[in-house]
Amino acid sequence: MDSDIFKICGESDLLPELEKIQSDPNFVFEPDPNFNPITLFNEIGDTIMVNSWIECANYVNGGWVNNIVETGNYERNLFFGLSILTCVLLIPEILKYLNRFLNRKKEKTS
Amino acid sequence: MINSSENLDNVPTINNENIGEFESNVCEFSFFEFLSKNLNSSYSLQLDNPSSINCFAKINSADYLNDKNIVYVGTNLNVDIIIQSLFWLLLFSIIPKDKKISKLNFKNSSIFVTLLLLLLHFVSEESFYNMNSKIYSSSLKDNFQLYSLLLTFFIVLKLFSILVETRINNIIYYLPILFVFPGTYNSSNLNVIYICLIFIGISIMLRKNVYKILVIINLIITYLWISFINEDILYFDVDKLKGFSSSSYNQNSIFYWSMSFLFVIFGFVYICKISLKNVELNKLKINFLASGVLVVFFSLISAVSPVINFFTYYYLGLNKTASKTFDPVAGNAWRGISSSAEAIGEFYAFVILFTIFTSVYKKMKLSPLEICLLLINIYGLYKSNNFAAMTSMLIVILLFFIFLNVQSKNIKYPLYILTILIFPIIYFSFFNSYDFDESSRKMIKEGFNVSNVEYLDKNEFGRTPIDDNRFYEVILNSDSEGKISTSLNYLVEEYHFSERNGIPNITTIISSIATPINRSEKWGIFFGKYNPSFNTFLIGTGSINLTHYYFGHASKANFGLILPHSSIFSYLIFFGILGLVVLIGLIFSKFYLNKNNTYFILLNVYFLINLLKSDSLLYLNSFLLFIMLLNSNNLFKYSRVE
Repeated sequence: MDSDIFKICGESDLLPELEKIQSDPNFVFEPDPNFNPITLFNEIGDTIMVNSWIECANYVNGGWVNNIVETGNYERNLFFGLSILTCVLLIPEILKYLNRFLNRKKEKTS
Repeated sequence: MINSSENLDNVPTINNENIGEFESNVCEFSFFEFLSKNLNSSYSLQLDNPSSINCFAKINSADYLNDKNIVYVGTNLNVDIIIQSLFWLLLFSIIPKDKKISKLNFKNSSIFVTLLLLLLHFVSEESFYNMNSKIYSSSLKDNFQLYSLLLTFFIVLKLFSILVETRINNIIYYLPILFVFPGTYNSSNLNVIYICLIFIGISIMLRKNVYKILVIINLIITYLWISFINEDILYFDVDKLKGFSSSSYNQNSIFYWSMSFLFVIFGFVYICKISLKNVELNKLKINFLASGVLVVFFSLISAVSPVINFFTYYYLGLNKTASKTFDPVAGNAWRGISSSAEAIGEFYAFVILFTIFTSVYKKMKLSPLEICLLLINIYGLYKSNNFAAMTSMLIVILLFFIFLNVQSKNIKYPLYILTILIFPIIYFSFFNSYDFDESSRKMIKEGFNVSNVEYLDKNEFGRTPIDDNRFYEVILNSDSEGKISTSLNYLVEEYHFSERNGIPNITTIISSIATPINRSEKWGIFFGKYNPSFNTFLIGTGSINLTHYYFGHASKANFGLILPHSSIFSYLIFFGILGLVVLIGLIFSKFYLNKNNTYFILLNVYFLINLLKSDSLLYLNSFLLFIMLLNSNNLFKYSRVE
């Protein structure tokens, strides 16, 4: 997870601070003017803009990521569902072609 | 809709106090449960297009705004396309099969090319899709959303290709139903009818060499359009043109729209050619009448309830939500489920005209049911308040009855001319308060009104050179460079120098047409914005792409969707003056070839008159109706009347 944090939020020596804020439910994140805001996504596609390194690390630690394509679990499942449906539609055609091909081969050999 | 709630028992009845519960429980309550608990509550529904699949058909927050509870319903790009497509395919399957099967060749190749074009579309209009999906990306790597979209369209086209062959001869009967079911997807800039026609068009192109040559010519023109791009424009809010207008201006979008537009024309012309010869006019007439009635019906029920309004929008595939009240827009026209009051008014008037023509042609009296349907269409026309459609319809009916009843050529032709001139004569005699000069000035002033000319000096009375009609002075002002559109610049020069040579100038001609049809303001805005270079004036900026016209020149009218208010101007933007000349030439050659077919001529004349002042050709259903009319020479046989 630490490597994800550094990859998404950038390098920082504030990592030990993360454990402290995890045990403090009332912690309020202060925006860091030197930090370039980053948009993070969760698995259902919700977005959040983080304004400091520690805020970013906290969210990444909670499973948020910045790569939107990776978040699309639902899209992935949908894709596999649609792929199966596509195969169902294509199988009769493939069989038809195969049949035709075999028939031609038979005709040639006979 | 039936996506279940996480907390079924907790869906509250919405009121001002508990709105926070909907705000804090985002994506918790199912839309269906919400509806069942809130049958008698007061609220309005709004779509939250960028929702995730999980939040589809769930309540995604609520707001209390302007004394109204607004509830947001989650919709999702992928799920919308699946659900809407399946619903429309189901409807399509209801079209009766024809005994004669018209085989489409190269079906799989056509589907493949259509999918490639769609992929190009999704890549080219990234900004549009970013607004309609939180996770949208045009990257091709591990992008399951994009793969799912393409697979969905593969399945849709595959099913369509199975259904269409046995029904293609009957499709034309259901053209009028496109005014009830426009078929536009909720969260994408796509239209199911457009996509299906691309597929048919490609299939036809692959088997006919003439079409292949046209594709090559189109590719050359597309190359020129692409070469005219100075700067990509990422996003144009297509609003009510959704599904039939590009939302961006870049090489991929120009390529997609120009190629797909050509294939759509191929596809629909093919349908017209194979089916119009054998059409039963009576059946087509009934379908036109019934469609007009359905448009009125759905418009009325959509204005009654926000829930019905939501469902008509979603399942009819409307370009924008139907009117939520019975009040006319800007005090004059009620559009109902249609995107445009003008376009639907033209449709109602066309239905009335077509009914009269068909009844006379078939020598059949209208049945009581048909009279009822006709009256409802007249009510629709009245509500749409399209004065131009009503007037042009009356003129065409008068011309038609003169044609039928007056045999002597000596009387017939003067009567034709009198009928055509009577309305302009009445207008100019009793209603027109402007002379030609004043009309020209009015249009030019409207053009300047939307131009960024705040730098103009004012005299001691606080008047600018524009107020004092010294337009050329504005053009000569060194600060005006780049601020005044090239078209307005040209019109001002023509107007300024014309008085010296005494020849009627183009500005006066355009404005004297614009004033009586109440288009001075709209056309003035058009010229204020239309800023073509020599090249783009010659061949335009690309098929059904208004983006460059809209943002290519900075003006005060770069916000909100302000259309040219003339299909001729729209096509001038798309195809330039050369394209326009070719199109007009084609139309007149059709007229010349069918000069004895009065039914064909009159129906087309009606449509053309209206196109002059309306944007109808920017809507797919009106566009297809126009193509059908241009190919309707076999619909009525002149000899039957004789």
